[in-house]
Amino acid sequence: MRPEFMFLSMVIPGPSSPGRNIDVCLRPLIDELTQLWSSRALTYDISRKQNFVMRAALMWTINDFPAYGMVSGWSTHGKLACPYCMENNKAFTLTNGGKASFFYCHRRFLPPNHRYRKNIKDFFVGRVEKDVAPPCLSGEELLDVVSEYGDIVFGLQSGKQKFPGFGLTHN
Amino acid sequence: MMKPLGLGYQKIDMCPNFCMLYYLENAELTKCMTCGHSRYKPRTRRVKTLVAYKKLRYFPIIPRLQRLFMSPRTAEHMTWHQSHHAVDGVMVKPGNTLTVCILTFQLNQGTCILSYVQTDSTHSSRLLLLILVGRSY
Repeated sequence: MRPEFMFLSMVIPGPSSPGRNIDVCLRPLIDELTQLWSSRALTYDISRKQNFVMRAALMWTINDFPAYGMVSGWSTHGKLACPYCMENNKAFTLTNGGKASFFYCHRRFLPPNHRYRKNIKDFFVGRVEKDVAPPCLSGEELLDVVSEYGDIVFGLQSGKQKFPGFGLTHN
Repeated sequence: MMKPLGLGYQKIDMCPNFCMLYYLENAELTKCMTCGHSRYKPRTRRVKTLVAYKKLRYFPIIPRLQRLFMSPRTAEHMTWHQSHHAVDGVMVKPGNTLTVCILTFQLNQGTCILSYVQTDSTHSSRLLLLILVGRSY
């Protein structure tokens, strides 16, 4: 990605990271994107010498893992770190280090008759992986899950706000 | 440099605790609705004007996208995916890959990609949004 293909869209002042409250800062951008999608913007195209109605859609975000936690709202730390597996992941705590470990959790994504699934020597000793990959939620299903939580508090109280099921089904 | 071109930025005051923006319907407030923090720094003998604690700089994207279609050189690039056709026997970059195909089907016209970057000084996190822009006449 070369600099001439980048748009600076927003400068968020410091000194601290906005964290989950980045949603507050992104509001002008989101307002403008919804305007571009629903009400559109009339634009003049000089190569054709005529007006056209421009529409825009957000395709994806590219970010590193800590920023992913900020944008998605799903914390990328601890046992529930994986935003795809969510509560269905198979992370375990290391006995001596006390940290969450995701080693060999990828075996469940292999084809059902893959030889690594039956390998009891090189991964978890003595464990055959029989689970299938966790279900992938669609956009509507995810919206149903999120809308149950109700109002989200931003600002100083955002870290103290706890929803039922914290640490078990979500983080 | 961008201001004489009509591509300036908006300064939006915000609560220093990231509670809210003083934006649109809340533009006139002087205290945060959530935490009660003052919007402006206290006036002193030396500083007599109102200075906000924190200001968000926002660069509106709609005028920027419109501006890309105003220059003949960039307008040609913006409609590249629509006007580009692969020639048989010549190895070229495909103008209609699968992703672009699906979206051009929805949008009915050509596409372009722009990006959004945010850098974070404390954690050096980088965030980039890619936006696919379609045209419909």
